[in-house]
Amino acid sequence: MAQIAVEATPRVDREPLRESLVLGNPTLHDVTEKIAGIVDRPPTWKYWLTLSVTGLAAAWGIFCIGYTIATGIGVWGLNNPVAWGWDITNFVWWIGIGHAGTLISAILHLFRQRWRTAINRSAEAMTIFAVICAGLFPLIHLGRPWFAYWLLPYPNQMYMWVNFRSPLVWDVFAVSTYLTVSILFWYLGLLPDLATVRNFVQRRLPKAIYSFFSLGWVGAARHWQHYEIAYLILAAISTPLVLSVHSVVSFDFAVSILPGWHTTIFPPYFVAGAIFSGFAMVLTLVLIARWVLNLQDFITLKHIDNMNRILLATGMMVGYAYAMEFFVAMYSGNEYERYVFFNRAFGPYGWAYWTMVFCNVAVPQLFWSRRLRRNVVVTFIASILVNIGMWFERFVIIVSSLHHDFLPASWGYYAPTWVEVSIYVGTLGIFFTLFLLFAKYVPIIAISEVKAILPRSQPQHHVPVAA
Amino acid sequence: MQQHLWRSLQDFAELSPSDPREELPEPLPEAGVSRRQFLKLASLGTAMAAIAAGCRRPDHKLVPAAAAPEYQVPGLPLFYATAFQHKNAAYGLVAKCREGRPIKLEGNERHPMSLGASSAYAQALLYTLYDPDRIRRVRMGEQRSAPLKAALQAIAEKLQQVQQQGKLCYLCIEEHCSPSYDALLQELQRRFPWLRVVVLPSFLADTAATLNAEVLGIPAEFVPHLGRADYILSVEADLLGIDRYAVWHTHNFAQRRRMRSRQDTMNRLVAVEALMTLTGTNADLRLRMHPAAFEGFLASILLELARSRPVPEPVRQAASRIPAAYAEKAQQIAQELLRSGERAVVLVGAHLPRTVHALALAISTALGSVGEGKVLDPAYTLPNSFPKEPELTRFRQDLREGRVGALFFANVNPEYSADWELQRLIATVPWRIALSLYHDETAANCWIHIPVAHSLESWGDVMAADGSLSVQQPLIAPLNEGIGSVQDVLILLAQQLDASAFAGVKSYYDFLRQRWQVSYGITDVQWENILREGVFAPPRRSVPTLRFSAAALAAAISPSGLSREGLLAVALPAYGIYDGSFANCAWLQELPDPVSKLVWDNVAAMSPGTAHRLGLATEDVVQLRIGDVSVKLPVWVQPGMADGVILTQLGYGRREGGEVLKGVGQNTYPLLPQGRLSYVTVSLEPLRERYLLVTTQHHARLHGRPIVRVTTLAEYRSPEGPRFEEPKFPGYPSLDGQYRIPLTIVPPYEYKGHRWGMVIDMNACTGCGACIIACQAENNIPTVGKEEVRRGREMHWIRIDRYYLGSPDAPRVVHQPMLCQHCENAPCENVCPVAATTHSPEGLNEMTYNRCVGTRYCLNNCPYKVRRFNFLDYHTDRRPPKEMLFNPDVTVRMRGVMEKCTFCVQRINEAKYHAKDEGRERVRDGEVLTACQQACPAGAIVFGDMNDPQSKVTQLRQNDRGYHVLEELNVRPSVTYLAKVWNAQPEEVSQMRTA
Repeated sequence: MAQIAVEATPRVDREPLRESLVLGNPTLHDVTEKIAGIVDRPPTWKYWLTLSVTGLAAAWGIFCIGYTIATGIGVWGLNNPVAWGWDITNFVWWIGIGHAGTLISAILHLFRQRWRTAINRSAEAMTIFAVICAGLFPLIHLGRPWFAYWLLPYPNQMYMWVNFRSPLVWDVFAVSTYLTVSILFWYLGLLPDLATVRNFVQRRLPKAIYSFFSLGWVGAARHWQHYEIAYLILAAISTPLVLSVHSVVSFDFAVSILPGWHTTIFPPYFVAGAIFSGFAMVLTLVLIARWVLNLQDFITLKHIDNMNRILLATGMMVGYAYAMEFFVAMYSGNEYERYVFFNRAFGPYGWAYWTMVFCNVAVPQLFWSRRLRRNVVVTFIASILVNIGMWFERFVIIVSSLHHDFLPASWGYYAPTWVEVSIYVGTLGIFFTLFLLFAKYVPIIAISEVKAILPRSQPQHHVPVAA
Repeated sequence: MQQHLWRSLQDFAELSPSDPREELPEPLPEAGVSRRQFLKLASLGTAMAAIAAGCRRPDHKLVPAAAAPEYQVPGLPLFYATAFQHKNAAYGLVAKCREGRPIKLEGNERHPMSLGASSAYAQALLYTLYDPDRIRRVRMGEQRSAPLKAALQAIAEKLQQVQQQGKLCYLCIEEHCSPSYDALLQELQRRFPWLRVVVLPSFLADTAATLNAEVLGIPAEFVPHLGRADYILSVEADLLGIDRYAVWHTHNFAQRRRMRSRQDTMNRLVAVEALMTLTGTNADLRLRMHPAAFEGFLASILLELARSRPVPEPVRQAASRIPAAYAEKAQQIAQELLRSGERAVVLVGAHLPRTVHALALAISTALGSVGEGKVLDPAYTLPNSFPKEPELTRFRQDLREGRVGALFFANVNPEYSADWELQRLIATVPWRIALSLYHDETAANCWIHIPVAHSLESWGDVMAADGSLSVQQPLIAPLNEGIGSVQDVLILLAQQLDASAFAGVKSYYDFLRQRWQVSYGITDVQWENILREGVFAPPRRSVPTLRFSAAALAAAISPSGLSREGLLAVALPAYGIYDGSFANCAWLQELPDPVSKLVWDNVAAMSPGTAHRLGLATEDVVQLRIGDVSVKLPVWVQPGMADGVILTQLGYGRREGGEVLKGVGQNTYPLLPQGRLSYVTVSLEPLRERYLLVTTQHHARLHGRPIVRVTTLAEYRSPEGPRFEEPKFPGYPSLDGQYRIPLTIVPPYEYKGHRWGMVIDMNACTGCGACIIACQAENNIPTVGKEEVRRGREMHWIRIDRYYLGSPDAPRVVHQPMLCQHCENAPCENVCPVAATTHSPEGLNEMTYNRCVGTRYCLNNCPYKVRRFNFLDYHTDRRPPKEMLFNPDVTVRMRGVMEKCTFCVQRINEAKYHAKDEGRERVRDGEVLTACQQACPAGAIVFGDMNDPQSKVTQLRQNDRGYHVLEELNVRPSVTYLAKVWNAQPEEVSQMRTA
């Protein structure tokens, strides 16, 4: 915005070399009208309907969490040998989804990928909500969740320190750091837009609230200067977190001695999988938002195309990891490893394995075709399938490795109960409820950043005389 | 731990010469508020304030004993010798009592047939003592709570009427081995001629005793002395399983299989079986055979023996009339028997036909293994094992002819176990009185039910098979409102009937004590001594001389008529709940069947071939029909059984008598013809139903993994040594701790004091499961019920893994006790985020329950999966007096925490306190016995200090059979397993390695 004001180079009227990232050539005011308008207008009945469905799911999930805590983990299907099931599957799945936000905001920002501006706000919000859902599972899956704070290293009368050798402690640090940085990053990026909304809304209470949260932003050059530096620093801090969080989560498995878990490939494999699932979830969400809120001009086919390319690339990476796991198991000569991987594909949980392979490896291959990459329906279905596939990936890793380990005498089988399924559905409810609230009360697209990439904001853009 | 048993104060004084607790003079009362009163008031005030302020759990009063019992020091256990009779088998026990209540039973080391070991039944006795389902009050008609006096008066009146009508009164008693009970019953019958006593066993197994009476002139069953046998041919004899003296048998059998060095000799067990018994699973050679072929097979062996050994001609001729079977194999076995001569024996299951028994006796006689000092020794016979059938027939006759006016049931339950005809006859008797612990099926149908005392609450005596006597000493006052034992009630009743009866006898104790004085000349001092030692060897009882009658033996040998056509079924006592008398014991209900690993159910077990032929699979429901009775049972496909045979278990399908037993399994007593254990031809009808069966082990194959190591005797002794299946890992650590490649960069921890370790000899372990229940009793382990076991949440800290090797039709079986291995490099320890499981400086892998938050990561990372998680609150049955069952030295775990074997750390600590008190730095070897080790009749578990070069465990660890399970993981377990050695020919084990 600031750049535009001082721009004075001669302009040549010609076709842009790159496809425009915002369609319809809106003016700066159009952008504000469009996006801040969503916040200002009262919600439609469709919104209320959707919110009540997700809210109901969330309430049911929270009830089931209460039931679990009151009765014991025994209301789930866990057993000996499968002591982790849907709980940790959901945890890793949600954490994975939480990856795309920071990747889009931080890494793409550092790499000056301008197309991120249309989706980064919702991706970051998604990250925070997904991490909240993820963080729920390690807490409620404890046998005695009321002692969950014992996982924090705090001075206490017992002179007890946490066990720093345990990956679960690393998890606590990794996830809490990630959540904190994600929230800060998101909020910082929101400041100019909150100020825009503050200026836009007329009613007193919203104006007061947005004033409070915009922290006195007036768009002064000094503000912008500090803002840009702070944003860059946070982006730099967040970038390693994108890699570290899921690497640490993967240590939960890689550090163990269980065949199928004890694998050095896990950190990069998990990070790739996380980006894969995160982008899939972003796609699901923005395609819905794009359709419901008529944001076709801002979230263009170009954006969808780009994200599908990332899906294709990361899908290939996880496919490679799947193949490599089998190769290493075969090559290791370790009979337990070999058995676990054979059993993974052809054992009692083979159906889950092949679902995973289909969703994560076969489905993204569609996106070799430009036509399919730019097909909204195909993309939407594929993004859902990838989410399903990535859920099964974690399920397969956790459950199929545990259920048949070293001593055949202790082998078992695991199936979830209705409580576990309800809690999973409940976290979906929590996630979508939070996202709906976000979509209504917070600018869903980064207004200031989009304004900066409008065709008319570009140095080479010719301003028509009529305007 | 050698516990000196003491009985009197003098003994105690002798035992503890320097008792620090000197008597304090009683303080004199003071005027005004004394210091003591002030403190009382002050503490009362504080307590009131705490009550007023607190909103926690309800407070319980802690009332110190105003007059503490003698010798009682709170927190210190007392040990008393007592005895237990399981039917007519005697166990010598030592009870550990804390604060006046028994909390653990162990075998008495001085008892010649218990030898310090116990069985699952003996362990579970404690559970039945504190069973909340025991009845507390006398029921008389509709009156739920009648005074005993009134009930006895009413009974006496009715008995007088019965007598006036010229009718009889029958007292039905269970099988027992108490000489004083016999004397009491004789006295009663002498005084009241209209009273008759009949032993009413749950099932009849008379064949051996009847045959012995006819052929040898002794009306009793032999208890074979397996310690004297080099060669045991067992024809479906479940010596190590459901046999009456299985503890003693297991001890003797295992004694000959310890293999401390390669030069040691070893016995050979050959099992000829159609079923899959626990004994069969331990056989060096197991011959799968249809029951109809048993007699032909044994006859062939006998004829083969007759070539070189004197076999009476009539016997030989009778045997030659039996159609031969498996003659070639029989020849081989006969040669092997001949090589062992009088140290070989043939033993036969009680349910087999008379011919099979007769042929076995003929073979044993021909080999010379019958006689004094031999395997079948007339000095070792089962007390009261005389044939029960004649008396029972008379009883039935009297009932049928309406000559019985009243019936007493003393701890018997015919309404459940008797055949339909007997039940119908019993129902015709107008006055029926039950004397029993539970309101069982019989008690429910009786006019009066008198709850009697448990055997741990009452006096008694027992006679073991070798003639030694033990006193059953009460350990606690009767919990059922002071009513005594069956014997006490009978004495009271007799006195009610005839005031002059049992003059000077107030209770059964007086009777017992008088009888011991008269019969054995026991003085008071001797009596005290017997109580303390727990065993008394009376002057050698006259061993009956055997009068061998070849004619009688020959007459007993004739084709039994068992047919290969159709299906043969047999119902045998269950390994857990036996004949149903333990059905309300959740410990035994949840004890996995040692062969099938099934819990909480009985099944129709059949071979894979039979199931295939009938188109059945496990969990299909079938109806077994014999005559006009039928039993509905779920199918269980059991590898190793012969085709055309069905095995099912007795004891299930109880309807009354407690909360635990309700709805568990099916009553299979109708399958016993006239209550006799035997094969019967049944017709099978598949029903279109499924029934959920639950096991604790779902996979029996080893998948080629070197988890169990097996070898044969010849290979073990060969100069090259055994070729054990070794882990297929380069550089895996070897036993001596020398690692072929360094696997850690951290220097190993130096254990300076004790370092605890265990050795488990898989060659001695028979898989009986006594350790599981002993551990459960010692460590307050809950039972979880069928539904939770189905979910894989059984809580046993020690389990016995059973693997099948070879083909499913004729597998070889290995039992492997599996418990926490207390790994030096424990994978569970480093993954716990809150450091709730850590390593002790003595090498224990410790679990801190109150630090555990329940992430279950340790369980996931345990390669042995021996950790147990409290998924729910499993201590839900809090009805009194159940809580008295808990061992006060062990924490009762709440839900949400992990638990596992602690190597009985409470026992280790106790031993360390003793050592410290006595000024010793170290605990002596053998001073700490883990609960599993102490119970194990095979002596397969040895625990001790690995830092002590002299300790048994250190020496056994150096045995060349030793290995660690999953040692290739570099977890460095503290438990060493000793490989199994089969005394078998290489061709007999050809398939064993291709697991």
